[in-house]
This record gives sequence, structure tokens and C-alpha cells, in this order.
Amino acid sequence: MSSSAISLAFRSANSFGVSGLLSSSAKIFHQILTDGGGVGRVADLVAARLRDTKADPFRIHALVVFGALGAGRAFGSGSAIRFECGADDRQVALAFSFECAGFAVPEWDGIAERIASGAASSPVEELLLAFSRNADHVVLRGHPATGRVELCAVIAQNASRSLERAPVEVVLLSDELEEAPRASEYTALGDLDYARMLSHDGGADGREGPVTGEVLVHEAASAEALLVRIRSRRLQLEDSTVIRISEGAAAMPDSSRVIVVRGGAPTPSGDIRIAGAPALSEIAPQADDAEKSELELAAKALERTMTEGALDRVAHEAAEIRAEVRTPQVERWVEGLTAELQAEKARIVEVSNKLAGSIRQKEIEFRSQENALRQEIKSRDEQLRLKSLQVTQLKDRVASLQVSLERAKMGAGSADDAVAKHKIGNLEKRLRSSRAEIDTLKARLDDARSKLHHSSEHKGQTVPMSEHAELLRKCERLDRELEELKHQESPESLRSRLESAQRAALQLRERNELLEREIQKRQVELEGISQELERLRGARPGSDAA
Amino acid sequence: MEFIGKKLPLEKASEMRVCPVGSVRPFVPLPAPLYILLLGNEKFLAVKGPLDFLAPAELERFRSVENFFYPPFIREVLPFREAGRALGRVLVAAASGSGVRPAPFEISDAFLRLTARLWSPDVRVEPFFISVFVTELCGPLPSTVAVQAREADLARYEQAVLKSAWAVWQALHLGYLDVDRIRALRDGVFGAVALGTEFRPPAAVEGLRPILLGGDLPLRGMALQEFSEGAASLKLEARAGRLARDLVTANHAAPSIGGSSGFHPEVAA
Repeated sequence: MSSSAISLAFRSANSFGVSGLLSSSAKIFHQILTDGGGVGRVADLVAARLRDTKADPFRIHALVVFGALGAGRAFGSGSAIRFECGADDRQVALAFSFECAGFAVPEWDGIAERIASGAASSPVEELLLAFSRNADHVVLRGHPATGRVELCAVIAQNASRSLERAPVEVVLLSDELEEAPRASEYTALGDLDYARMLSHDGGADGREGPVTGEVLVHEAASAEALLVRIRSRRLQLEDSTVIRISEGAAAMPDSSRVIVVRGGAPTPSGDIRIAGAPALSEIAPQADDAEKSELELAAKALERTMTEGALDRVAHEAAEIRAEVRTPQVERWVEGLTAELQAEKARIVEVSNKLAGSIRQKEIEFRSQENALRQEIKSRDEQLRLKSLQVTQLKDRVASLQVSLERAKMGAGSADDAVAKHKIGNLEKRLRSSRAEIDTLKARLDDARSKLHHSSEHKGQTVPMSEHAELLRKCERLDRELEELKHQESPESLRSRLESAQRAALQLRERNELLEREIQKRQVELEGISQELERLRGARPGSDAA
Repeated sequence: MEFIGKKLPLEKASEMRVCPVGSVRPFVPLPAPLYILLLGNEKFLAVKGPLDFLAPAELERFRSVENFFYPPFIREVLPFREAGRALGRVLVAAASGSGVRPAPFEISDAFLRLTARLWSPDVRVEPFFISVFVTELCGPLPSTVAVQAREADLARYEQAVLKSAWAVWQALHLGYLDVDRIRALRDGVFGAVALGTEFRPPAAVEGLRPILLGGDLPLRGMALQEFSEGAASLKLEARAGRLARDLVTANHAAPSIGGSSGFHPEVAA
């Protein structure tokens, strides 16, 4: 028994799945087992998947077979089984989750003690006993609310196995299930990384390259280029040590790599790969000796690698190569390479320092320019703001004046208009009556004038007409004023016009009265003249006939 | 489901696909609008929308017209239907065939390879097409539940069809590859979504809560892990990652129920 190697501080024992039994960095494989078919192959694949761990593959096989075949039978379950297995750096865990038709909590009382004593009284306990013999820790979880059961086995890595039985921990989950803590990666058991598997260089028999011969895919632009290519190819084949740089196929995990092949034949540990180096499509070693061409090509590859910022990675790879290959030649090459790498790194650091300094200087300049520009923009903004404020104030004043004018027109004007209309009406009436009166007077005046004229013919006297002409002019002026009054719009001017018209009317009335008095006086005179004429006519008979 | 082209002119006859009335099974969600030909009016008239089904009485009534017609959109659906049939054959053979039976992970891998061509290059698929795939795999809907669900609420019925199909689709990707169990899962989710009947998901299938309790499934293209939660979501995401890495090719256009070749007025192709 190696339960001391088990981390019993599980992340979560109150949820289903193996993630609660392992650390968060665990990688978990999963598969649903609908029946017992192919369980042997499932066990094989599980063991293969967990090969990198130090767990005993026989125990893994046994636990998978017991769990997949025995769980349903022991628990009376016909449901599919959700199988999960995973590993972290300390332990491996396997879990079989299924529904149990006859789930009864009382049967689980004292089950851990019975297993510990080695006494099994039911198929469930026999299964748990088998589990405890092959695992370092067994967890039996039950969820009474759903009748779901999970059987978990934990195996410690790096621990010697004993023949003692592992303890069984029984956990009854509460109705509200916790969500299983997350693991770093979940993978379906059958989802193999075919790309990685196919990235291996060798064929089925381990031979380097296809047995039907290589076919070079690059076309030469001219016959000369073709000859160069053939020559370089021959150099490669004739050299005892060559570097071949090939582009990775679609199946390769890295886009390209550098492979050093010794003597053209595959060697168990002779392949040196520098992952991450950029692809070089052309290989044209110019040096005569193999070592020189090897170094030149490697330097080319490294030069491009450095420019892409992979210095650290290459240094790491070089250290790995040195650790792996211990031949003096390679040691020397790697040492030289490392020295070059360090020198190049120092140069890059120096250049980067200079560059950083100049960038800082430029940055300061730009910043000062930016500040000046910002200040100018700020002052212009302020000016603009003041101008716009002034414009706004002026607009407001204009608007308020317009509003007050409109109000004055609409409010005060209406009453004045009514009064003015009324006055104009009265004035018109009075004018009409005055005009009628004038007409009457004119008629009487004409009549009197004709009589006077007639009498003057007889007496040589003239009737003065200056008063009458003046009256007519005034009448005409009054008419014009009346017409103008009608067309006046302004209340003030209308009012002044009205006042002047009233004054004119008053004068007219006075004139009329004077005129009437004059007319009466003239009538009296006319009557006197008429009487005199009658008397004269009576005094000289037969004058009518003359 | 909403669709355009309730009536089609007779000039479309060369593009229409004939479907004998006798070959249609009742309570099967239809993969496209279904038309009959009215010779007097010289028109094709839609009698059923997509995802709707024909009850036995309706089939009997249409027996006199002899043939239904599908629009050209049916070509987009056929690969899903054929993949569903193929998977059904694989699962039946794996469960009952003679000789050495394939291991569960081998069936799971075969399923992934079989359905890889159904995904769009960005590993998305519209749930409508998955409903066609699952219908072909699982067969007709449970009749009583289907009739009740359609009469109660048509939109909810359609969501139940889509959600139950998506649940099965996810379960298949988790390795739940058993025809009878898949059918039970489809029927259980369908009843729970359509009528609210009680359904307890099987222990082997996890992360179904978003489908059962979440909002409506969208009609646009969906990633495999959408409408899942917890560890199931991570597992599905990992499988989608393998599809994208190894199996899905970028040399075909993704089918859609929208656009010029589709029928839905709102879904963009």
C-alpha cells in the first residue's frame, strides 16, 4: 500500500468526475461506455494514454476492466458508463459514473470497514475489494437524489506497490451537486494526435525516405540552375555529414526544421533538430569540406532565426543538442555556435539600447511639440468660445427685440386701430355731411352768383368769389387728408393725422359758420336787392318786354 | 417555422423534387417546406412548413394527390439526412454485428469522421440541419407528445425539435453512441422542452442544463460547445478543436436556411 503517496486533499470530493481528485493542471481523457464491448481495447488505450505517468499499466488495465464490466453487474445498472481518467504530477485517477437502479443508502453503512477487514458480503463489496487491491485509494460517491453512483480509483505515481488493500472512502453527495472543478485539458480517449504520429520521418520499417526514391519538387529556372542544384545535391549525398533543411509538411507540428543526418543513414540518436528555425528552400553549400558547409548552412538558419527573435529558444536547443550528442565535432560546433550566438546577442542588445535612446529622444521632442500644439489649440478654442458667446448674446438680444416689437404690434396696436377706425368713421360721416352741406351751399352760391351776375349786368356790381374758392380748396385738401388717413398704418402718425384732421374740421366748421353768416348776410342783401328790383320793375311798366 | 414562397408558379416544376406521399412517415419533422401541385391553378401550394409533421389523418387526406414536392433547398439538407442514415447503420452494426465489435472510441472516431463534412469551414452548423440529421437517426417524434406540443404552442414545438436534436448532437460528440439510448434522450428532451414533462438526463451525458432550462436556440450557425456547461463544454470544445485541426475541410460552403438558397426570411446565409 502506498496511500502515503496519495494527496488526500482532493480539490473536490463532492462532485462527479476525476477532476476533483486531481490538480488543476491535470489532463483528462473521457469515453462513454455504452456496454462492455471492446473493454480490452479501451484498457489498452487508457494504458497507452497514461504511458507517460509512472503508474503501473497492469493496475490500470485491471481497474478499467473491473470498472467497465463489473460496475454494471455489481450495482444492477443497465445504464451507460461515463468513464474518465486523468493524471497530474503525483497521481492517476480513474472514475466510472453510472445510474444505479437499486440505490439504497443503508446498504452503504459500514462498507468501508468491511472492505478494510477484507470481508465482502455483496457483489458491490466484492467489486470494491477488487478495486482496493489494485488502487492506492478508492472513493465511492453516491447521489441519492438521482441514484447516480461513481466509483473512483487513485493510483500514486513513483510509489512501490504493496499488497495491502487501499482504504475506501464513501461520500454521499448532497442534493445540490457541486460543479466539478476544471482541469487544464479534456480529450476524448480516441482522439489521437495523428498529426504528431505522422510527423515521424521514417517509414514503416524505419527507413529514411521513401523506398521508391526521392522526387525533388523544386523546379529549376534554367539549365544552369538545374546543374547547380544537381551539384549541390551530389555534395549533400557524398558528404559524410550533411545538413538537410526541409520544409515541414502539413502534418508537421512545426512549420520547418533543420535536421542533421550522419552518413545518410538513420542513427538512433543522431538526428539533431532545431525546432522553430525558418525554412530555407535552397541548399547550395559552396565550401569544399563538409564541416564548413554544415556550419555555413547552420549559420544561415541561425541568422534568420535570430532576426525573428528566437535567440533564447535556439540557445536552449543548442544546450539540449550538446547534452544529447557528445561527439567532439558536434561539441566544437555547438560551442562555436553558442559563442557566435552570444556575440550576436550582445550586438543586438547594444543596437537595441541605441535604438531605445534615440526613441526616447524623439519621444521627448514629440511630447514638447505636442504640448505646444495642445496649448495653441486650447487658446484658439477659448477665443472661439468667446466669439460664439458674443454671437449668441447678440442673437438673443435681436430675438428679444423682435418679440417685444411683435407684442407691441399685436397688443397696443389693436386698441389704437379700433379707436382710429371709430374716429375715421365719425370723421367720414362729418365730412360727408359737410360735403353735402357744401354742395348745398355751392348750389345756393351758384344760384346767388348767377343772380348777382344777372343783377350786376343790370347794375354793374360784382359778387366776391375769393371766399368760395378758398372753401373749395379746403374741401379738396380735406378729401386728400381723408384718403391719406385711410392709408396710414402707424398708430402715431394716424393719431397725428386724426388730430390735424380734427383741427382742420374745426377750422372748417368755423369757416362754414362764417360762410353761413356771410351767406345769410348776402341773402339779406339779395332779398333787399330783389325787393328793390321788384320795386323798380313795378315802377317802370313794359320793361319785361324789353 | 416561418418560410418564404407559400405559393410557387408552375415554371418552378423543373427545380422541384418529387416525394411520393406513401414514402413520408407520420410524426417526422419535415426537412423543408412541403408542396402539392394544383394543376387547375397552375401553382405549387405549400401545405406544411419546415419542422412541421404530418399526422396519419393528414397523410390519408393527401393520398389522392399521390406526390408531394420539395423546393430546391432540399439539396442542402440531403447530406445531413444521408449522414444520419449512415450513422444509424454504423451503430446498429456495431451493436449487433458478428465478429469483433469495434471499441467505443473507434465508433466515436468513425462518427467524427462521418459527420466532419457537415460542418462549415469555421466548425459551425445551423441547428435546423442537425434536426434533420437527428430525425433520420432517431426516427419519428413520440406521437402523443408531438400532437399536444404542436397544438399547444407551435413556436415551442419547433424549439423542442431543435433543442432535442442539439442535445443528441452534443451527446454523440461526447461518445454517447447507442441508438436506443439516443432515441430516449431525444424524446426526453423533446417532452421536457415542449410540454415541461419531467426528464432526468442520463448519468453518462452531462451539461444538458442550458438546453433544458436556457433560452431559445438560435437559428444561426452554432459552435459545438454552445448551450453546454461545465466539463461537458470543455470536452465538446476539445472535440471541435480536433475537427478543425484534422477533419473539417474548407472547400465547401456551409449550408443555410437563409439567403438565396434557403427559405427563412430572417436568417442571413
